[in-house]
Amino acid sequence: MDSLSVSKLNRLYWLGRYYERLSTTLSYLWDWYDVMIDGEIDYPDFCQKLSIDCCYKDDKDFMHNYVFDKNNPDSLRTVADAMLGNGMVLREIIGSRTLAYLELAVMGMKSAEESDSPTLPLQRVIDFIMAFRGSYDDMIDDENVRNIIKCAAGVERLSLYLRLGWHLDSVKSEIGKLMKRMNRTSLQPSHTSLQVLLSAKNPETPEERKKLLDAAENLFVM
Amino acid sequence: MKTLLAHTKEINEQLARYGVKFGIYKDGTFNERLFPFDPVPRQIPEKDYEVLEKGLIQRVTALNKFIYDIYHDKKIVRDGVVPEEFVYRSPGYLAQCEGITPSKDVYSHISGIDLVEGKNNEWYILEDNLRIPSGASYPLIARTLCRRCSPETFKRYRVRDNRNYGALLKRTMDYVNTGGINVIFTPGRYNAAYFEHSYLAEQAGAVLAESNDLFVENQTLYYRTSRDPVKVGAVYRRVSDEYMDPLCFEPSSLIGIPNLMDAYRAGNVAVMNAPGNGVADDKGIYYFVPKMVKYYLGEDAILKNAPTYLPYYEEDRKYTLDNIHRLVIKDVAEAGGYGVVFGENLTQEQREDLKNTILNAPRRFIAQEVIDFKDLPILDNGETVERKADLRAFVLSGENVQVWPSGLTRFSRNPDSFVVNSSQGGGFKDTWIVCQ
Repeated sequence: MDSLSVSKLNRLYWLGRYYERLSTTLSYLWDWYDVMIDGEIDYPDFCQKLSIDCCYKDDKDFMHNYVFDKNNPDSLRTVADAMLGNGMVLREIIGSRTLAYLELAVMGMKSAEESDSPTLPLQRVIDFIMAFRGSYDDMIDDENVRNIIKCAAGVERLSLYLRLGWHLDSVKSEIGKLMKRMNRTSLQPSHTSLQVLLSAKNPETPEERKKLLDAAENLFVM
Repeated sequence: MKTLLAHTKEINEQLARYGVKFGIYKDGTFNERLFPFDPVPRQIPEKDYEVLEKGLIQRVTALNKFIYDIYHDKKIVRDGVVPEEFVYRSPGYLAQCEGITPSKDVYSHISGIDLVEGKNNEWYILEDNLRIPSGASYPLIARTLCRRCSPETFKRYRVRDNRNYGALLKRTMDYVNTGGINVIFTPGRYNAAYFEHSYLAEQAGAVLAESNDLFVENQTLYYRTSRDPVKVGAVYRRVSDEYMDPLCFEPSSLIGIPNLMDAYRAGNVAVMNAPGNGVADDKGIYYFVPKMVKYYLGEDAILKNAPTYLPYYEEDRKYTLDNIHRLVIKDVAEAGGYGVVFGENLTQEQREDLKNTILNAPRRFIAQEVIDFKDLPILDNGETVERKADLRAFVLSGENVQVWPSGLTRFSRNPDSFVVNSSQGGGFKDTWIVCQ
């Protein structure tokens, strides 16, 4: 069947956003484990940039609970569960073999939590997400489905880069990729956001970042 | 076989990788558990299976005829073979289904028949599940993983392939389809059998849908898409009768599809299994199934029921009360291993209480002899131990009535228990039909 239900389309979109949020944020935090050996990390600034509650006692508490606390709605473990939750209801669309990589990523989060050296098992979480990306790109025949996931991942990556002020020199190129993918989907973009993104360059000021962030977040209404 | 057994841990890890879980609600909280798999298969020689197969086809054929009869002519009641109290007071009987003829006259498209094998090598039917029997997906995926883990085992043993279940299900759906897509209708992600719903949708090439994906207009069921709605021709619903359509059954249901029964009644969609089937898998009706076989098919039942007594009948009531200490008493309204009481486990006071309850509501209970059924070997921390196990056989009714050459073998992990249900902590095995 060519058409997706509205709820499936929504699930595909959020699957893309959550897996990208998990992998990009883990990559970002990767360096902080190293920084903590010699000094302190500015986690309150991180929380502010992501607009999440800064409820942590210290660096160590942040690095553990922000990553692993399944009862914390902002944690990466919650993001991982949401990623799997969206994937589970799409089994007949993405396939069991592809879905298995999301199961493995969540299992990887659980085993990393139990490790006294979590950075090593967290590497496996990123590996499983990379495997998931390769698997869905290769195994899903439906171009619309593939590109909805990719578009959502693109929006999430752009959003994180702009919020965190990270890889700002890649913003224009990420927007270019997003536009190409969007044209291969049934997604209906917001005309206003589209205009802002199409005329964008790599941002240099906080105002430019904010304008692009708003456009990316409002590009699709889900 | 040694290599297969040596890989128990790896096979269970593979099952976890594919999300082979079942959900359980305890104290109002939803938890998902892995369904423990034991790699020692139940082996059924092909010649024994042939008898089972004939018996199961015969039984399901008679049950389908019974359901048609109950919702149309009611000859079996008029002829006094089944007392009307057992039909019309059954919670599974739905007056709303009176006079409805489903597509191609099939009511029980997927029947899950629970059996045990006695120590005398004879099979006994424990119960018929004609509403939404679950479990086929577990041995289906386990077989694939076992073959991957130990190909040499499957080279050595000639085992009937069971990996065609998705194709059988698709064929069954296609046969009754009234024109449109095939849909598996699930209550959602937090249903106990959600893994199965999603896996079978993938295997059968059907669309997995929840209630908000589906709607009825002009007595036709549609799948709601981001473009035009798409007509549904067959819906394999995994939602209980009472929650299926809030405008026809339970009005508070949020997981149903308003007016689904209108579309079904108009013949515009096949609903699998048909609503109202519960009238035939009620524990009280079970007693009458061999009589149904004789009545509708003119044959003796090939497969036996467990010896069963109906306290409704005076003679049976007296026998039940006199022998309660060695019988198993089942509440006909319960399922999933609940409402089952072994007389030998009760104190004298509890037995007296139960006797009084039976006397006050004899229609509510059946009593059965405790069958001394075969234990099966399972691996428990590397040791082989014997545990009670049953078999759920799956019978698919489409153009033909066909038995899936496999089945779900469930076992108790508790050495003192006869209760094998997954919700009660049991595990599962693959079921091999072994060719000579």
